Amino acid sequence: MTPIESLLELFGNFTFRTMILSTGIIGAVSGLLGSLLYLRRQTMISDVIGHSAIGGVALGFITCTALLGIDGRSVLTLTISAAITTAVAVLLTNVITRFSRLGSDAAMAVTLAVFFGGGLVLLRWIGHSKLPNRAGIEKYVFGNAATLTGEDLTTIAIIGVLAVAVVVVLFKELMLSAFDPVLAATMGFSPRILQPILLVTVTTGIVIGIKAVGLILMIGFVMLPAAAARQWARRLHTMTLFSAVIGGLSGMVGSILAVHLGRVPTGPIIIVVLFAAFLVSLLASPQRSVLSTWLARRRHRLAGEVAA
Amino acid sequence: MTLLAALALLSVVTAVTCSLPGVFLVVRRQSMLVEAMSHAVFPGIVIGALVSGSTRSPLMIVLATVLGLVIVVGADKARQSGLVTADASQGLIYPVLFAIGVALLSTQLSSVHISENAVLAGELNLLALPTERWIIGTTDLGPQAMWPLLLLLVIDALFITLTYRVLVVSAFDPNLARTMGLPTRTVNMALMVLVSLTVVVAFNTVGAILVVALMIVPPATGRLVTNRMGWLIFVSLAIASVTALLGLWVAYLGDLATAPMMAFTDGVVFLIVLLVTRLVASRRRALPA
Repeated sequence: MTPIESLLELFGNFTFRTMILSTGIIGAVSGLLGSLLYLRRQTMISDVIGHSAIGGVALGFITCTALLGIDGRSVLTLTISAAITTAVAVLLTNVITRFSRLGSDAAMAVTLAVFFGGGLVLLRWIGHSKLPNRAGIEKYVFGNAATLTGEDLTTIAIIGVLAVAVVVVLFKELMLSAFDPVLAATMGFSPRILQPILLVTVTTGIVIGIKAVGLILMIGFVMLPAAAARQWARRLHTMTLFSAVIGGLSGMVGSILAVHLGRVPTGPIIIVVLFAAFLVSLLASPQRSVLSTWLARRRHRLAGEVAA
Repeated sequence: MTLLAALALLSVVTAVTCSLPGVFLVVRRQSMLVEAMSHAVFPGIVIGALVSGSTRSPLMIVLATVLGLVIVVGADKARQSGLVTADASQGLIYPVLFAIGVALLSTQLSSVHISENAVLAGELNLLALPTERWIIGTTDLGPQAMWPLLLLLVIDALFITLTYRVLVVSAFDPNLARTMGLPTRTVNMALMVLVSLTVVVAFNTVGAILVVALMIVPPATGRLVTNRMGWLIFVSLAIASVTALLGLWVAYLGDLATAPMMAFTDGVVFLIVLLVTRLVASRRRALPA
């Protein structure tokens, strides 16, 4: 069987198709949002979002199963509770930075202590409790794309499209406020409206990956495509587009590789693929890279020697 | 020694050993470096455990510590290349190292005894069990896992005593430190080695991810109440001990996970202290002079 045939066969299988499509969408959406965070120099906040989401998963599960009596393991309920919790986590980080003499770095560590530490305490409690459907809830920390259902894929696709729509509609405003927040405010794009929209979009867009790729490695999904795309693009809209494409392709390639290798979780393999893409971009992109700088220097030196 | 006494000893020693180097990271505003390092050392721990068959071998500690330093050196190189933004340089390297660690762990699960749970939350409770004690003759010297941490605490304390002036000046005014001709580069690198070593040694008790909370939050809380470096160290260690005992006590009563509860307590205590200091400050402002 040729590689293409085996790939087609893989795609014909429902589980694998769900996996590959989901990781592709997750990769593309986090790549898209990552380019906005990357330019705002707010990259470590995606680490806080990823880790704090575990508190949201635990709280959401308890609310759904104990209070509302519904299955707390679907992507929709997980995404809603994680997005709310991580938005609170980001706000808490900002509040600490504003009201103390500590840097945002220490504020992030405090947020992690509260939300990640608290989340782990709750997860362990759920594990010992008698709540229904509790089996497997702890797996969301590392993620497992093979557990995704068709319904989960629909949720991921809808939320993904919504996140893309927000970024496309507000692109000009978001770009301006990333490069020059003061100008954006004077032009009438109120940060009071823009910031919450960006916050909700970013947290929701990042946490849809929970079930498929886990929480811990989210920062890689957000940053690696953006940093790779930056090497190939000179303008923000091309960078954002490249970042989404690199993220989406790496997501799909990574999950195909994970299926072929067997026994390995999907998230980490996608991260390795994304890192490879980043490394190639850093070393060898035509306009700005380690290789192009070296060649330019060499040309200059040779030109100098010829002139002498 | 009762189980509770062993648990209390191990928790307090872990918390204190972590927060001592954390003091300097907080004042240098490099807290998230711990987060990057604690993820980066993970493949070193897995490979070291694969090769040596234990998570306590010296080989594993050396290998993992070196990987932690890859973050420091790699981030410097990436920044110098001018191709990635400064805050991104750490965050680009550690996800892939952690990913390699997780992938290795999942394929070699049968030969390495590191559970996913241990990676997330450590095994503080297991390490305090009577079978994990260091017993000489009939004397019970407490949990074995406590002694490497104590040794590291002594090394940290010696290092800080010897280089105190350089550490303090370079934390608050790096330019002044260089002008004064102080060996800032060497001392900074040595501090980074100790931070990486702390992350690795603390892995067995608290896992790979909670360590950032234990290292940074007690000094951050201390920073809310004092401006003086000597006091800050003292207050941070005191807060670390108290929150460790408090966290352990709550976890023990409620049958909850110990290390995550310690981290959570650290965070809650920080928020309470922040609230109180802000209230006191605004009260003072409101009173007529």
